[in-house]
Amino acid sequence: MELDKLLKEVQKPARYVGAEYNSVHKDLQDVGIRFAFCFPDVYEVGMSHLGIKILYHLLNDQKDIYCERVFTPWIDMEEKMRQAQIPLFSLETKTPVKEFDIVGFTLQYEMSYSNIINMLDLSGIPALREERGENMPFVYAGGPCAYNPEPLADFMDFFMIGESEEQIIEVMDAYRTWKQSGKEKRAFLEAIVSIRGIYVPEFYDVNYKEDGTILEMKPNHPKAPKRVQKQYVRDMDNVYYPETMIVPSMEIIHDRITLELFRGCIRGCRFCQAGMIYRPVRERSPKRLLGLAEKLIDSTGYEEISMSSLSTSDYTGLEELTEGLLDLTVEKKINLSLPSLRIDSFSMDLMQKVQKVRKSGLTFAPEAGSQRMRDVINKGVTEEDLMRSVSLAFAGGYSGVKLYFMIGLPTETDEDVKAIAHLAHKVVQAYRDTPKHLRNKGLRVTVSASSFVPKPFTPFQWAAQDDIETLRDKQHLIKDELHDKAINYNWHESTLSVLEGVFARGDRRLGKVLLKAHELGVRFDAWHECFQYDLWQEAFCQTGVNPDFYNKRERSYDEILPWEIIDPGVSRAFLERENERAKRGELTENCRSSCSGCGVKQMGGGGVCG
Amino acid sequence: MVKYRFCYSKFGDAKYISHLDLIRLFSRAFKRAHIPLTYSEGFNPHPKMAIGLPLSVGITSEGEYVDAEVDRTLSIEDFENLNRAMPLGICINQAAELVLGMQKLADIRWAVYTVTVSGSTLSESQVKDFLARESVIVEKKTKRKVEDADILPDIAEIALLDAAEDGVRLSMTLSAGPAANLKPELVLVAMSTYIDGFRAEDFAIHRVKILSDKGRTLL
Ligand code: SF4
Repeated sequence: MELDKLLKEVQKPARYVGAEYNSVHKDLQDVGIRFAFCFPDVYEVGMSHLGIKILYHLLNDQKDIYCERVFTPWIDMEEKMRQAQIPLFSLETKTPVKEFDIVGFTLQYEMSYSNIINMLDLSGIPALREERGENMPFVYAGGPCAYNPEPLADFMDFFMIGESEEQIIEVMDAYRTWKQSGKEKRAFLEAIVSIRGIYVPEFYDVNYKEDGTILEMKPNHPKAPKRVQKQYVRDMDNVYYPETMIVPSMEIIHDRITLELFRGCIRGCRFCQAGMIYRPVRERSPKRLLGLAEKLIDSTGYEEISMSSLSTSDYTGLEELTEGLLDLTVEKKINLSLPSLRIDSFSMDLMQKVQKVRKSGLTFAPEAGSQRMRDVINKGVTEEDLMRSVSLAFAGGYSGVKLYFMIGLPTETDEDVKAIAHLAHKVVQAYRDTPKHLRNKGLRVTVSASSFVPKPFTPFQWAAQDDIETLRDKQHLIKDELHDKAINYNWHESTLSVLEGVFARGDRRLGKVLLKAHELGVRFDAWHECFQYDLWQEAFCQTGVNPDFYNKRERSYDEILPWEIIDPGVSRAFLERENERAKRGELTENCRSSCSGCGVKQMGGGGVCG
Repeated sequence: MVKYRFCYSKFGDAKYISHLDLIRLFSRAFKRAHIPLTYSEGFNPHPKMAIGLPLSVGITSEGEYVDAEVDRTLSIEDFENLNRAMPLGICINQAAELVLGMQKLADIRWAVYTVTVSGSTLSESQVKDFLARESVIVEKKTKRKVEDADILPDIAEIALLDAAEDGVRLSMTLSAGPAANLKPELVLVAMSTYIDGFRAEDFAIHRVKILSDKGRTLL
């Protein structure tokens, strides 16, 4: 077979074959809807992601739907496929993507957008929706980045906004009906546009002012809603969760069972998009989770199970759950891997029970160096809190500490930046102050500073983003302030975060930039070794789009923001209020202490707050 | 603690599973089948399991070996469960308890392959002449360097099974195991170099069996 020949010549051919345990293989004769779930990155990254595991099994549990997986072929494979003129195919049946009914992309990070265009190209599917015609599949996207769908509006027939476990079934029902009707493609889009969370970009017109900002975005179709409300799961115990997961035959990044404890976050950090768009907090009960854990352990044979959420320490059933999981993992002889937890006596005790192995590093995310800056971002952590935690960790025998920070936050001064280094030194001091008989040898403090990127639907959505030079200066400022051999410092390439910023807060006009950049050969932008900033600059230049318009400007409250076509539940009034409080350095309480009226309660349909 | 030897095949898409991933794959399959593997003591316990002979990615086989230690005696039902717990393309064909006096994995000395080459042909006499050469020198890559090596001593037999105008099927018995290991791909390279008009560009390799120094299979 042609493909066999190719696979002999590429690295990690197991990426492309998909016969893993628990992968689904159906008789195509029984299948009515063929669904290609596309993850715009390599297999190892895509398969580590929880969403794909949920939707894959959810769809395949429907008798007449066959969901297959498609990942981005790595550079070597792409080259061979293009040479041999083999179109992009699905893992399970090796069917060309073009032959599917529905092609869905998941948007996990902006820097994967160029891979989407490349995957469509490799499939022989025109990237622009207007050029696709009646014989091509429907192409849609969902996932967290779909909260600003506009940069991909030229390419997608529709978007699913929010959590799609329930809505995807409705869309599939509509597809069945439409397929039987034999009507043209537009009729399907008309049928689904009234399903909550469905955004159909061709049903909206965008007009711009002279200064390039948006004059209006309005529906051009009577059925299209003025704003598209996100869809979200109300009852986490009764919503679908797979009792089995594909077990890859090759090593992937997160190679273990994942239990999702809850969605949403009570904290309200002002930079964090996830903390805003996943509101309100909805928990799964420990009972449900333990039941799932047992089934997943038996059905996968995995040797490790982990917990996932935005902030595990805030899970109300943590004690009950971890007790249950400890018993279960001992009985089943597997490992429990702990996420980073707030360090207190409970978590220290828990780690003691879990980690029979060497005491590896602990992770802390103060996010900012100075108290002023932490107040601005509403990170309710004080220096005292941090010092108490690291001292506890050092006295408990941990000698490795990782500290995560951001630079480029709104209102940040040089003093705030230097404070990152000072805080790191204080952590070193806390180690030296720990009695010798308690602490372990070999202190390692790792300081990691990433560049802040303002995201839609956060209180900082109006903020200007630091430019490359400023970010580099700040990175160096930290470096110059650090003078201790125990401290390791690493930072992220700032050109990447600039581009991320453009697409995060971009509009429809970026479609042509993306297309041009693809033509010029960009792909795998999230991969350091593949990212080619100069090609992107060329693409902006050739299309006459100025990236600074998206990044460097502080937007005013009067401006209509491209993503406001979406209603995420949190209101604009709340975001403005939070932005003003940020400027004044005022903290806002977490949802459990007191409700700050973010607006998500008004979405209706319940959901528990706090 | 009971030691077992399993003979398994690897075919279809499973031929792309690398040797390094196999131990993890097997230990998960044992877990799914509820067969308690014996783990080593210490900080980082790992299952007591050993694979007979690495198989290159892309090669199918019907005679691979893995030895594993388990906590209890296994029943027929266990073996059935184990096969159900394997990913597509991996199948246990045979198993037996390891008893004293049985051959060890370290005794592996030869491997027999069937090699199908498309788009080129060979005659009996060409194969005979090739084997009658004084030496067969090819570039051999080791971990550290590339050097010229004579592979003839590592070829026990090459037999022509089928020959047509557009393809041939060969049986090769080659050195295998810890002391000397010759890959059939390399033999094809050598044959393409030394046999006039023969070109092995499009081929499929299948390992038929693994033999000990006594020329016997290990189960
Ligand atoms: S409505 Fe109140 S409690 Fe609920 S998420 Fe918003 S701020 Fe938090």
